[in-house]
Amino acid sequence: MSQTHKETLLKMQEPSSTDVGSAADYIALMKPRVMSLVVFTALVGLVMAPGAMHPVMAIAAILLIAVGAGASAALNMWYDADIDAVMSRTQDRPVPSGRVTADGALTFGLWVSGLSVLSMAVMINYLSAALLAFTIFFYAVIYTMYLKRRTAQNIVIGGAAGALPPVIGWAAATNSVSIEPLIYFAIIFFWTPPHFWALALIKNDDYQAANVPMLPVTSGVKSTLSQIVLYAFVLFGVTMLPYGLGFSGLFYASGAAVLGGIFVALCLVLAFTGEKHRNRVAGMTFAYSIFYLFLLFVLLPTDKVMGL
Amino acid sequence: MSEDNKPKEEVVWTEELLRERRKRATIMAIALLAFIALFFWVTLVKLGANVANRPL
Repeated sequence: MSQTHKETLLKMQEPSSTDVGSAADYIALMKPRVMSLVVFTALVGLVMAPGAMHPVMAIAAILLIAVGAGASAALNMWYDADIDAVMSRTQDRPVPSGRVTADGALTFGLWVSGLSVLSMAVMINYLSAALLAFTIFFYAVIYTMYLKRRTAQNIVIGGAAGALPPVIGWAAATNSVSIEPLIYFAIIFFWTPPHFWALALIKNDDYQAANVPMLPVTSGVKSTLSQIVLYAFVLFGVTMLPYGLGFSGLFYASGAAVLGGIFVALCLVLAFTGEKHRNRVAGMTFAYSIFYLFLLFVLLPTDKVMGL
Repeated sequence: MSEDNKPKEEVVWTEELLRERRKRATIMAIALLAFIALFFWVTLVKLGANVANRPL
């Protein structure tokens, strides 16, 4: 454990008894940027499902998925406050900066989690409620409390939590799970490692200081770069499955091929870029990966509407 | 002095902090009202025409 980390842990044990967090701080606890991608992919899962869902029910389902995702983010921020305080990217978050107490974040996360799951069960159906509960549990307990600090495969396995929203959306609309949402799950699951590792390359010093075993920390930059390229190729193959299995058309397939081709090319360029420019290319890869996933999930419903 | 008796750092409630707290309480109230409205709306959708057809 580094000296900085030790000092931070000691500092965090000093009681800060009064919660002076503003509404904006509590919204920040829910990681709104991550939440927006969750909402979007869940919405696509819901739209792609067969049959029509009443718009009011659809709005309720998406809202509850968003709230559940936000609650799990609050639990993550509660547990990770010690390492967040060490890393430049996260040290201004509400808990490490002292604007929200750790107890405040925990209470908020638990209440909102319970409320979102129970409401999902009452308003929508039990299957989507169970999936939402599992997602919150997987992210807050399996990923945050167990995987993140123990294994370099943390974000690979933990990525399952971020990949579940389209499955929940589908389950909300149909009260069932079939192969299509599982393919959407696989797309996000295989997208997560190259996306996160590109960021981890840039923030390597931070993760090292915080003692988080991200792949660049444990296995080095070279190994991380080859894993990024490997996952980019696998992801390309997985994004072709909706066309291969016959539930998306040529419009989706050609769009996904172009976008995936660019992503593979970017990852290859990153792998062969020298140390001097590596962070810049890693930043581009990280930014493009968000754009790539977003467009893939735009292509799916657009293809369905066009019926090509 | 033992750990338990150590005085905790008191927050001085400045005007700005009080304003923020009031704002937080207002937003929480709005969120709760919106949640109640959503529950009501979903109930109406679920009951559908049965609201009119129920035995009196």
